[in-house]
Amino acid sequence: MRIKPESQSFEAVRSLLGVVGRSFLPCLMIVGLLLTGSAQSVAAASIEERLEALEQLLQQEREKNEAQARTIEQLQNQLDAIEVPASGSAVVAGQDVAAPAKPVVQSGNDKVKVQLYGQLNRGVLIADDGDSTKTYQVDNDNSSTRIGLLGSVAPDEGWGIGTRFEVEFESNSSSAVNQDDRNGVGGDNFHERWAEIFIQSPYGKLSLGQGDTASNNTSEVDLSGTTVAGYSDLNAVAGGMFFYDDDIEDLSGTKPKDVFSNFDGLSRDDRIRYDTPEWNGLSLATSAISGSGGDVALFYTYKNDQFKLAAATAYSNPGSTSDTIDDTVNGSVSLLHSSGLNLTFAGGVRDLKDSDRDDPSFFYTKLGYRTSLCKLGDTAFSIDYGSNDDVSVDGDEAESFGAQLVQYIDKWATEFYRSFRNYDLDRDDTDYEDVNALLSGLRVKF
Amino acid sequence: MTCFARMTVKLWLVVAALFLFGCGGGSQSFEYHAADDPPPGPGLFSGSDGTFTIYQSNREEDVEETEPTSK
Repeated sequence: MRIKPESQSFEAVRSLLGVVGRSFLPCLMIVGLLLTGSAQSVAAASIEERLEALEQLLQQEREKNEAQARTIEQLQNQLDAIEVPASGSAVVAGQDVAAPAKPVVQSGNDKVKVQLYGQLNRGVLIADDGDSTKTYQVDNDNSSTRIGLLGSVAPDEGWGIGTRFEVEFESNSSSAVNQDDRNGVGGDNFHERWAEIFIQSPYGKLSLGQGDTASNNTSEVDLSGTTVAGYSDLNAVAGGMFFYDDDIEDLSGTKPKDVFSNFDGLSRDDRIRYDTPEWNGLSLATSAISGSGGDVALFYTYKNDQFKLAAATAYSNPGSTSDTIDDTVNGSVSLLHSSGLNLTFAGGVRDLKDSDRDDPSFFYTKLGYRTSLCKLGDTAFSIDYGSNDDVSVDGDEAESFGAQLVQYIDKWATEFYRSFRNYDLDRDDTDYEDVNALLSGLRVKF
Repeated sequence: MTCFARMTVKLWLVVAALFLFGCGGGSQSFEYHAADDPPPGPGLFSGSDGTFTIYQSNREEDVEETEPTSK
């Protein structure tokens, strides 16, 4: 059979393969192992490289984060350094926000203080002259609209210097409007009040320029808290009105300001004034005005747990600055109890250059009460009475009654006031009607 | 001066004398503000100071606090 040879071949091949297998299998295993070990080494190297790359990446991210944190911190510091002004306006762009804001006004003197102050005082005046009633928009002459500038230099060993400049702007003054002149009274301009230089020292105060003479305000001491509505200057409410004369059935040429006066010294003027140092509330002042006039005044203030008292008295001689007045003696005193009850008195007498004339006199008194009725602020009430004799014409008897209400509005630094005033004049051979006036308004201190 | 005015003057002199010499205890003077002056205290815009301080040196303790008064 031909099969045998084939069987023999098969066996030979199998034998050969067995020999080969036995001979090469360990080699193959060694090669395999070698190959496997090589592959493992390669893989380990790759991982290390990757780890290093990751570490580098992490390092870079860490550095970036740290840089961002530093940037944020710097920005926060800059934001904290920015000071927003009270007006709410932002700091001007381009400025170094970290730099401190510079003052608008600068001075080379490191002891200087400059202050601006003022107020607006506007009201509505209703005045009746016995024949007709008219309404006026006014500036309240009890305490006019004004603005001022104070400058002071710190005292050095008790010596110091300062300045005061103050002007008023009264459009339609309540003491000037009348039945024929209801609008645009007084002109649109400033009127001088203060323009002075003063020197303070341990020996007193010396003032030079326009300002209070020593005797000014000595008839107007008042602790009632209602002075914005009324005080001894009776003409301030409606002193410019004409009395209505029933005899001629027309307005007379006489006004309250012609027959009422509180003889308040020499007012404000161009003067040189000296004030002594205060001694136990007492001080003395004297002034000489341009044009030979002069005055002397005594001031006193006192307070304890229950009372406050203020008083002033003066002698003044206007010299050649007046054609009619020779001299004046006047004074006022006001007492305020801790309960709010208060009393005020003022008076004076004047000697005229015309020796044939009677000496005019003045008297004023006020009773007031100040209390707290609501959360807005204090409420002050008062009633007053004033009289003048012989001011304009011998035999004149002028009387005035008034009532005042002031509501303080503390949050707005504002006072709402209402004032009623009656003017009555008895003059020989005339028949004047009373003038009645009601003034309401607001005073805002800015 | 009328009779009523003269009586009131005398009455006030008596009241003032009683007050000045009769009231004991701790007493002191105070700063009086004139009747026609702006009231003391804060302003609507100026705040508690009552004035706008336009300029003040850094040495605040050297500069006196001032408020406008007629005296």
